[in-house]
Amino acid sequence: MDYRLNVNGTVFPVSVDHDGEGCFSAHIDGRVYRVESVQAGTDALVVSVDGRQVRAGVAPADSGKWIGINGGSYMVYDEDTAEQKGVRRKKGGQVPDVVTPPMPAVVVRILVSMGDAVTAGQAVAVVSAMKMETTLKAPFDGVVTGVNAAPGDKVAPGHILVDIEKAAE
Amino acid sequence: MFKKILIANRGEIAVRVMATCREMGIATVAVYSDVDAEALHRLCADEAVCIGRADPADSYLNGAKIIDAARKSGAQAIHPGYGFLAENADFAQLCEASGIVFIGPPSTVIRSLGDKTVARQIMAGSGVPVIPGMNMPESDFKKMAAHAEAIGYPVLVKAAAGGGGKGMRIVTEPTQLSEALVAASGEAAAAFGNGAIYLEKYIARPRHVEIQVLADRFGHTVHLGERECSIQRRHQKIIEETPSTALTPDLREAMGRAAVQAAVAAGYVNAGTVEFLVDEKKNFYFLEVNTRLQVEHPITELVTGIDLVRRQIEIAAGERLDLVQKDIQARGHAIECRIYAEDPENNFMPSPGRITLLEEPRGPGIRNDCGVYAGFTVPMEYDPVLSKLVVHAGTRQAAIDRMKKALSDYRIAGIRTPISFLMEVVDSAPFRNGETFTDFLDTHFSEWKPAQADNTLAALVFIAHTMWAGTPVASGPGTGTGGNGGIPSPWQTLGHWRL
Repeated sequence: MDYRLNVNGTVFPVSVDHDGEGCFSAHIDGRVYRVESVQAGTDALVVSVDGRQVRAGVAPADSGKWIGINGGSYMVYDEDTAEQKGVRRKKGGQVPDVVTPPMPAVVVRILVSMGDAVTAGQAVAVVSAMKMETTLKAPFDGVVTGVNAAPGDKVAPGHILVDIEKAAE
Repeated sequence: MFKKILIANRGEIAVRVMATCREMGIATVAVYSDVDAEALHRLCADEAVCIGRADPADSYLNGAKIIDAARKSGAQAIHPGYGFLAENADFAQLCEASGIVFIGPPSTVIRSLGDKTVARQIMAGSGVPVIPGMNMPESDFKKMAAHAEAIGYPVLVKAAAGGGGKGMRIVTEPTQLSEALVAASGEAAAAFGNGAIYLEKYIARPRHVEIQVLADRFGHTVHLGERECSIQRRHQKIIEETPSTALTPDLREAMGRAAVQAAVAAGYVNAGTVEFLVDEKKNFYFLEVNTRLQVEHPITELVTGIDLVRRQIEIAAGERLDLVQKDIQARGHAIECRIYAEDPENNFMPSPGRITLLEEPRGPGIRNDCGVYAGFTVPMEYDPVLSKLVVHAGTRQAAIDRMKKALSDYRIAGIRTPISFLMEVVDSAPFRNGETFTDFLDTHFSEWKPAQADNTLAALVFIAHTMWAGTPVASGPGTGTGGNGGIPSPWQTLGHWRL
């Protein structure tokens, strides 16, 4: 069977063949990896990849799994399943087109009011997480049509703090 | 000795202080804010008092509420940890006035050393080398310009109440001075409520080396060697080690003597840290005194075998310090890596959230001072330190190998951490060679991107876990089909596999 696995924002098409009980071969980017199950628990497992044993921690996440290997932490999910569940994912490196915090945060200041004209890149809100302040900017030229948060509010990615109606091109 | 101590802090440092209290048979009182109701420090204490809302001003920075909690619980002393009220002279004074022992120096000492220009006056007056510069704040531009000429460019504009790099500007030529003074003063006023600034000579490519001191109230003062803290990001230390590769035995002794001299000059009591800059010619200059337990204190504890928190408590209780300088010997090498909740793939931005998996490294010579657990939601309101991973080994290279191994055994999920970044830093050639200067990360790791090597492995583990242990990723008909629609996924055809 085939997967389209998103690993920390990079998508890997993976084709898997079964080689019998407790074994599979995975084709990734023109290479074949032979994987054997050594021990599988619910929150950790040991697999042998091409004969080399790897211990990994696994924890469930919203639509995929968190995987911890060699000190690294990887968010992995199946793109196809995620699409069916209607989970929208931001693509790495893309500039957001809405005013939303990049991490859970507390609103420090809202710098604009209803009806204000803003230009692309103009600071519109300041949020704080773990003693670090982040300035959120207008994604394009336009007019503020809604302010949905006030100082002290707890907000999360996806929560749109300021609505901006794009100016006509 | 005290029977009960209140710990006016949270996270790993509160947990660490409680550990020593328990060893000493002293009962502990935790204070916590409403978002910290399930925080580890609250759970570890003998008693716990909720002191207010998440906003630090209402809880961990609210001296009156903390004193009240100490009174009601019958705590005789307060350990402030680091951060929050640890270097707040007003709070120390409030403790003194309330008849509760503040485990730290007297409020008068905190106050004078907290003003960098006053601290410079004290040190210069007692023969401790200070960076050439001004010993008084100044607001007149013409006088500042004259000082800058006298010191010689490049100069550093600093805030008298400074810390964390705020209100600091490097000025390389006279034309930039006016703008830098205005910006630095404004930043200092916003950060510290005090816009006073002064000038120092800018030291190019320094190392940041600090000396741990202990002083009892009878005037006996010793030092416990140095900590090298040059590996910093945004003026925050991320890796510390001892001994420093920059110090020769002679230099170590000279700096240790200067630190003791500085502590004595300031009338210091309890544990403190004298920070120095060491330039490329191995000249050293007084920077500031941190009047508290440092974040990185465990590396000193590992090489000296001295529990600094125990000594702090004993000194605060009025006991004599029974350590003699010649008996204090550092053995081997210790390194600390700070494990922050931050995302190395997103410019090290904070990464609060629920920890879904936590496996801490263990083994000989490994210590992890940790303030979180699996299932805990790391709040967004506070400092991002999750734990401090500390290793001790016979030599520096062995300590690096041990740290690399310990980092790779650290499994944490649900939030992001810089563990993979730290692994590459400690294993890099310049770190292994001991080229630890304050510009280290900018010089060697400014272009760093997470290695893709383990992405493939993570994908394989995902598939293996889906097949063999976890809940299947695809559920119901027509899912998990990818490019070959209609073919059932293996778990549907093969059922649950067991080995």
